[in-house]
Amino acid sequence: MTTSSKSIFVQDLYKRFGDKRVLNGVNLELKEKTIFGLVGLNGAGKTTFIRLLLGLLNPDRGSCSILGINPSSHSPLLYKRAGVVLEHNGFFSNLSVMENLHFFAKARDVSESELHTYFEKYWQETDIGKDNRPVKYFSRGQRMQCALCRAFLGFPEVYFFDEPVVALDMEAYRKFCDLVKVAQTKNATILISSHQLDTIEELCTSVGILEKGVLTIVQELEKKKSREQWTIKTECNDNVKKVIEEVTGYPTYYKNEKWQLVIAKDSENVVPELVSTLVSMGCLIKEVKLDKMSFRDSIQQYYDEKK
Amino acid sequence: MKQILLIISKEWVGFIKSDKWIFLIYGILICAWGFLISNNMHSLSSKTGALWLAFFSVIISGNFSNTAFVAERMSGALEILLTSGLSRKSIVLGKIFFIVIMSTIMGTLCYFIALGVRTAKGDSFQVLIRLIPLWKIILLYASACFLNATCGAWLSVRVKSPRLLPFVNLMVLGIIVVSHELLSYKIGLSLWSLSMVMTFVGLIFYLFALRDFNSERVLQPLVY
Repeated sequence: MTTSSKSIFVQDLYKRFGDKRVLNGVNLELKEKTIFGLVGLNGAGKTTFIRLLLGLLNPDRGSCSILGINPSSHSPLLYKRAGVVLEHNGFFSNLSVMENLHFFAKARDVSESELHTYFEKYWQETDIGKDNRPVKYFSRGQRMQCALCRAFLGFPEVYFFDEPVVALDMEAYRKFCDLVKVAQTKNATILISSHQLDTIEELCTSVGILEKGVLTIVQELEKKKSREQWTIKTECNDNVKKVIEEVTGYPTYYKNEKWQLVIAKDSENVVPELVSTLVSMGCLIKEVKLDKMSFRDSIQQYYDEKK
Repeated sequence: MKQILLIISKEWVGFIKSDKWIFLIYGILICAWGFLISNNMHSLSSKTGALWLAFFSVIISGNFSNTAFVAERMSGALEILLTSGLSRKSIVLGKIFFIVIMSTIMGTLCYFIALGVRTAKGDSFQVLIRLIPLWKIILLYASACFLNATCGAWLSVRVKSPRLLPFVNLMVLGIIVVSHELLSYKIGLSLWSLSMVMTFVGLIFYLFALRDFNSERVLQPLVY
């Protein structure tokens, strides 16, 4: 696959602000029809990464290309093909939704008829579609809906969403999910950065975790979703923990002041033997249970294992 | 050109849909300044009157710069505007043109109010208009507006604290006018040359603004 055939191509991207190194050699390749979820703790560099992809910031080192265009060129050709929702809704507060949309449609070369068809089909019946007041009178959730409405205008080829579902009600959330799926059917590439892991799980086909400036791609997301696992909670000392890890090869980690041993469902045959070993070592078994692990738990486990 | 016109029309719609009291404030300002200038519109101090009008641009253009550049940066609208599909050059130029056009209209109104006041006091309109030709006054005022608009555009990106913007605008205009006046005592410069100097300095600020709008400075956090 050549660089130009990838919608988003990032190679060895570095960025620092003063002494703080935010991105430390990030690599990413996304093809069309991909919905990529970007997760990470506060301050991990997700917004910086999106701003770099949009050319709002310049990398210290490395390169990136969006639809074959270097974002640092600030090419209007790139922005006309990109839907963007950033930290702020970015609507002009004295203008109504429709006036704002007219402006962005003209900026993006979306025709008047295309704008009206899009608005009538997806937004006319929503509360922002019926409200002709200036955007400054809207609630936070309504403003976010406006931003989403603008981002999907003309159904561009690539999307960048930074916390797109914050403050959305259930109906608006559903609308967002529907529009993401519509965009995907139109071969778009979508990058969603969010702390709402349920949204990431529902929509994304692949996920990356940004931590300490490095992007770790979670392969085979389907396997991460809703998988089952055995959890053994026990009280034991550090020596026992080491022995268990050496003997079983399974990760153990400290959580809620209890040692917790997690075993994948497909290795459940070792559970009785392990419990017996632990008891013989004098450990007090608190709980042995089969959990259905959510995506949220998977991500939590990722961080716990890192600790 | 199409993109510049799009920015100007966006700024215009945003302005006419502002809160009503803003128009009242502009009205009061224009009248008050018009009365002030009218006191300096006789044969001995006609130049002072023209310079008073030039300083009116600091208030008007400064306020428009605040709305067009600083407020949009603060609300995050500028970030979206930069990714909207318009070139950065047309965004900066469109906003500067809008500020210059609106400020010039208001300054012209202000000058006509001053003329009206003098005429009402019994002065001849024909004589007043011959003291300094109208086009010279408008050119002087428009060049002062251009200077303030470009300086505002640059400072809105350059300084972290935009509340300093009107003060810096005032300082820049003050330095230029005072330097010009000092020189004119020596070599007899006219208002025409002052307009040229302000336009030239404005062009330099425009280039600075364009450079900074193309850098990541445009996203630096604001301290208000």
